[in-house]
Amino acid sequence: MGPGPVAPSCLVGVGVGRAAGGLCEKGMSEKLLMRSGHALAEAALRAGCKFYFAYPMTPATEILEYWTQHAAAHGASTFVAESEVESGNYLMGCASTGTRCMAGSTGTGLTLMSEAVSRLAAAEFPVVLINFPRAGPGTGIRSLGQNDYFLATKATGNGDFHCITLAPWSAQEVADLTTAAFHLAERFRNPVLILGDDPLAQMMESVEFKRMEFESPPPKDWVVTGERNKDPSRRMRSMEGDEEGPEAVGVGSAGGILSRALAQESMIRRLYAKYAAVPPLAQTYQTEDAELVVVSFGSVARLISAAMERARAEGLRVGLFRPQTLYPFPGERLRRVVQGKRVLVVEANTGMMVQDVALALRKEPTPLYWFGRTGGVVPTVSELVDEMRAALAGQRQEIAW
Amino acid sequence: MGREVIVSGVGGQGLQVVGQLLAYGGTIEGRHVLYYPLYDGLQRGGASDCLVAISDEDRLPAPVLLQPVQDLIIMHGTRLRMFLEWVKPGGVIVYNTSVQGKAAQEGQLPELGRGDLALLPLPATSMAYEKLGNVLMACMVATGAYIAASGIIKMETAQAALAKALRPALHKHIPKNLEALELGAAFAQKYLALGAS
Repeated sequence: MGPGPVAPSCLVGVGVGRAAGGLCEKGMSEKLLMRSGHALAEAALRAGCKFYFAYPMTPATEILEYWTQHAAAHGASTFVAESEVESGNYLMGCASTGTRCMAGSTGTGLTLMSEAVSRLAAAEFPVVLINFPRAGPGTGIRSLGQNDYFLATKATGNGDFHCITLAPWSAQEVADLTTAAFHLAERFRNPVLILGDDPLAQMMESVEFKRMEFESPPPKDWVVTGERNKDPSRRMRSMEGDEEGPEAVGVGSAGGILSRALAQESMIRRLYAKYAAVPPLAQTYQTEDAELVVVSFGSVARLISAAMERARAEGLRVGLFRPQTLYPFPGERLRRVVQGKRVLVVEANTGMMVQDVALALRKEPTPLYWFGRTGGVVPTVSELVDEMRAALAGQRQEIAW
Repeated sequence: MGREVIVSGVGGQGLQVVGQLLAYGGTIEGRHVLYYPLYDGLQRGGASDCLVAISDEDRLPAPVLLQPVQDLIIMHGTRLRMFLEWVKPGGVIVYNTSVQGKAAQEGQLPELGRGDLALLPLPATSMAYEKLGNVLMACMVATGAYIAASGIIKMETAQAALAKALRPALHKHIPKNLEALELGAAFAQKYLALGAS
């Protein structure tokens, strides 16, 4: 598997700055007006995804709703699971055959899937996961919440692994990144998670399904075919040991534990070597002349772009840096963009992405500020402009690493 | 420049159809469109709102529900107070005077205390019942008036978008909906002409 860049042709022109040249050209009457969840399902079907495993749960239900109506026409199947625990395990079995498949829910459902997700990552199975989260802990409410940032980027399951995490901000980008997700998953043989939010799930926007070119994925020489003893490399093995079985390495003995630990360490290091090769993606808007760069993702970045319009009219030079991959976090790119500027992180939680930003900028003299609303409260454009003004004037406490 | 409008009322009035009609219209015109519905998971009669934002710039519209917007279409009196403070100066409010809640009289507006708005009170439900024989056309009457007053999309586009906003089973009602749009637009043109003179 070569670590070459995944051709990100689909990712060009999906943001504010490039919108005119990319997806938002005039005279787009051929474009469809769709909910993001429906666009996601359509993009997955077009990408050749054959199974969607889900249990209905708002605001992710729209995906299942659309899938149920349109899967048959694409030769795909709907599988309404008994719960998200089953969704995750169906995914495990399906992915082992090399079939493109996906599972989705809210954050609540993703936590139930976490055992399976951890095993999927350990087995290096390419799957796509969707989290359209609710706001708040427990049952949560249907409103804007980016409270699942850590769940999506750092702790989607036990062990020591990450999902490649994508964060779209429009229905168009949901469609584009869903297509890209299947290619990323197969290229890096790792679960890819798409993190949305409630406004994104609810909104209907214009969407165009573009043909995208990707490098061919590595051959699926690892899938199980059901043909007994034909190809020894295609065998489901216990993670407890190698082909000779657990006994050969002496399960229970000190030496056995060491040998298994060493084997597992090298497996985990291999996962992290792959993550290092995943291209981090981000979009910038009006950052060149900006004195303040706002770092924001998803629907919050949409609000920032509205606030920027007002701030710029006031003469405040504000730009936007929008990560499209939350894991790997585009820290290197951020460092280059914010040289000599101030940074304000805005998110709909009590401060999660700001940790990744602070880590990326820990050696920079850049003043770093943070603002957020949580529990489902949507920041207003006015308060966002106030925060921009205050950050530019240095009237807020700096975030120290 | 673009416009944002909040369409608000109670479930069952057809508010989400209005939102989708404007959104499909914007899409047909090749503009950036955002339609953001918000309704309670309740029985008919619960709160039902949506935001439609249409813009011509390179910038995608923002999901600014419950924030200052340009315009309002209010189909039920109980919703007016809630959204009134969110309307930007210079905005257009189309207000259904037929359904005002308990106290108010038909045709009378409550004291709004906002002189910076273009107010268009119209008895949408009464007009729909008396002239079209169907109270469900009230939303479409108000939409016709709103399009005429704001120019958010062209009337021809709205007419064309009906086939997309209404599911196929309801297409037989398109002629009636077209009538309702025209009725509302004619009311708005007459009202605005009176105001101008």
